[in-house]
Amino acid sequence: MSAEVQAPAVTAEVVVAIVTDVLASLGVETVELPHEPPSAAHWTASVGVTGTWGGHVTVSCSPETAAALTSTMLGLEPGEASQEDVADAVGELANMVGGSVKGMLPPPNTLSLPHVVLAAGSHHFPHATTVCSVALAAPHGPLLVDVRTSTTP
Amino acid sequence: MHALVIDDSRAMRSILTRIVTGLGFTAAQAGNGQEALDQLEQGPVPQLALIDWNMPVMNGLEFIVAVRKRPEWRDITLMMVTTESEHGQIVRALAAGAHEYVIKPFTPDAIEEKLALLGLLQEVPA
Repeated sequence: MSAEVQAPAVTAEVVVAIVTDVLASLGVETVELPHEPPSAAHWTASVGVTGTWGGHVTVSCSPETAAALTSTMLGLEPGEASQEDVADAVGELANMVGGSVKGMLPPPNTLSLPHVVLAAGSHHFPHATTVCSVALAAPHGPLLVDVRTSTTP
Repeated sequence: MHALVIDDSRAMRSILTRIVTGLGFTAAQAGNGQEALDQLEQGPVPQLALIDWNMPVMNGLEFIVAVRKRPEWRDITLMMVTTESEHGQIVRALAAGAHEYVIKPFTPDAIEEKLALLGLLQEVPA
């Protein structure tokens, strides 16, 4: 079921527009950047989509970028956000981006709650194929967004 | 006027609280539908509830159904604020008793416009 329905509407151009809207809602203007997988420690938040299409949407950024976006979202001074705050804020970014991606798919689909980790290096998704990867400018570095479709039956 | 902001994300609760307090509301927060019901039991009963859909423990739709079973809470205006954008989900929420539906991401102006349409800004001083 999950891999049978493709997601033709979910192109890099569409995802860039979605992330631009999400950041604009936070008052952050952005531009598209070349996508380069993170090599240093970074926050990654993932939401899963199940239904007519199966896959997940991940949002990744450096700790500095995550902290800056968290301060913006919570209305805090830079440096005031706790690790818990940052995890929550990055998770909500993934929720908004993933929800918008889900909205591009033929219904019905279900969106999972966000799963957030602070990890080093690139993540490996053994049962997924990348649909698109984009990078957009955010405070202190890029915000990376990947859309992957599940390849398990 | 008093608002209750219900979302499992502290960041989103903070964003929505800033918007409604900027419009003259006082605001309380709850992290899921059950926490929100507990607050309604204890009072004060708000004029407005802003409700996320996907939350642990009790989701937003279950919260709306629970509120609509209680006549003493019938005057609360229920506004879904969620990433759920499928037409069927919107219809379900409105059929369950939601008055308005806002899809994330949103702008502060979008919330203000919805509240104005609901007549909830008329008693708020400019």
